[in-house]
Amino acid sequence: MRTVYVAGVGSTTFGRHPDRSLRHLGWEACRDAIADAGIAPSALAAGYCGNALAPAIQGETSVGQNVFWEVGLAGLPVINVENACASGSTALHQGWMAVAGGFHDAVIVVGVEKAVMPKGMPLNVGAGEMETQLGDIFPGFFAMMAQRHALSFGTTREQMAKVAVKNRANGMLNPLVQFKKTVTVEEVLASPMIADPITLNSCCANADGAAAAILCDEATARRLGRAKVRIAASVLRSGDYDSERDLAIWDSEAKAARLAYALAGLGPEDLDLVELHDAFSICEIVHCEGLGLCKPGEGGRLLDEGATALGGRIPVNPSGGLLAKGHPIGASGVGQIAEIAWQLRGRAGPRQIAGARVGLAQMMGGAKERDARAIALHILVAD
Amino acid sequence: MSEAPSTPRPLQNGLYAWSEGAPVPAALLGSLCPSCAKKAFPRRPQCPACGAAMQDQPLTGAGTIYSSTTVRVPSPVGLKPPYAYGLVDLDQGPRIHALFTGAAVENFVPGSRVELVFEGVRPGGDIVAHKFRPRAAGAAS
Repeated sequence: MRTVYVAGVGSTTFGRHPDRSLRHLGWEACRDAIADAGIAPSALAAGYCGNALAPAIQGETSVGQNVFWEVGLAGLPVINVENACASGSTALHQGWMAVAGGFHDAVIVVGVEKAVMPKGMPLNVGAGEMETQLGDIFPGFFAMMAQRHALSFGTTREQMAKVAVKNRANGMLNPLVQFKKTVTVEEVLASPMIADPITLNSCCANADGAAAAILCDEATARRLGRAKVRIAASVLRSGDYDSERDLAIWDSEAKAARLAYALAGLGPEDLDLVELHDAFSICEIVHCEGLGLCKPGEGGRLLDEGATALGGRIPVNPSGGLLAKGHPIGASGVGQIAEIAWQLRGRAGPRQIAGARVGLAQMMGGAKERDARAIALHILVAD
Repeated sequence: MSEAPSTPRPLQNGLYAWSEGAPVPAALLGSLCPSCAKKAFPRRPQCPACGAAMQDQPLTGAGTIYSSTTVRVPSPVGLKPPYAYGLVDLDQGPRIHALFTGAAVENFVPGSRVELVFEGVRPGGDIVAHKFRPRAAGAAS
């Protein structure tokens, strides 16, 4: 297997882009990633596009061809990837496999989404599923996880609220985020209840946006002068679908994490930053435990101690995460890679983590049998 | 609209055991593994634990709430807030995703005893689904 580098990254602002098409958002991210890598577009041998909702919302299919056409890329294999919230991360995994396996020397990966819904149009994803027809909504599933976490470990609503407080504060330092406004614990708890105990400010917002990355082998990276950010692990797995599992502990995520750490030859103690899927505030607490940043049940305490804040022991979501950035579903996983690449290159501006060398990106996609449909982990290392 | 709008239909075909002409289903239609005794709902053809072909198994009766939540916003499928749903460990297994009914939403907390019922799930009531209501006081267990 060959070593793979992230030679360049790009990202649009996340938020409301009512006047821009999917392809135009994707074009901007790709253009910036190509420029960042300093690579000739003709050297890109394949394109991977993560998108989750365009067939349902915009009536567009095979979005990758639209985006890469806008960038002027033709005559190459284009692979469209749908894996719910992990669509972009899965596209990245596919691109990594192609380069690591020696099939291509350089590829482009883009995640793109327009998830801000037209007024009055409900987001009705998974409408064919029994749970959805019984009124299940995504916050409800995580509400039950929060309930079980509180019962098992005593995790409080205040600790959950602190996730939103921290990530919104981090977002103040990131020009790409949707919400440039801090919140307090009191404001998070007093915001409208969505599904007990999850309040409005405990939820990320749907967003429009795109992010892109150029992946290449070591020889190409050296030629470009970009052999700096190495993919030390790329892991993708489905859930275990144990429908009677303990909802307070995410075992399938812990298994994915053990595999990622083994591939990278690193452990959670080696991480300098983590970008993870904070769709709801409880998610960050559960994922910190799943990724081994603390023991099971201690995720709430990380917030109390400031361990995951900028300047803490292990900063989590220094970009502001989805709670500040917003969530352009198929783009979010690639957006995490952009943030980590900037951090490892010392280019993260006022939110820069001094001397950051190792970063982990975590995304999950969908829900099935009380588990995730997709768990995607990437560990990036500065060489 | 030649069909009578009040004719109840199941939420999805194949979810329930339903006698011809009965107003509501008799039971959930689940699966039982003859080899390792694992149960599943909705039914599935092959045992996820051991791979054996599963057999149809009607599931009914009482259970205990494992987890629950109350939704306070309008549902995309037209349910009126607030409504409560959750996961129920059926006494005869397995764990069932269901709406709660028959009491204020605050009553449905982990550990509470509930029993299976079938009733209308949307305004109009022509679609019937499984729900759990509080176990009647004095009922065995």
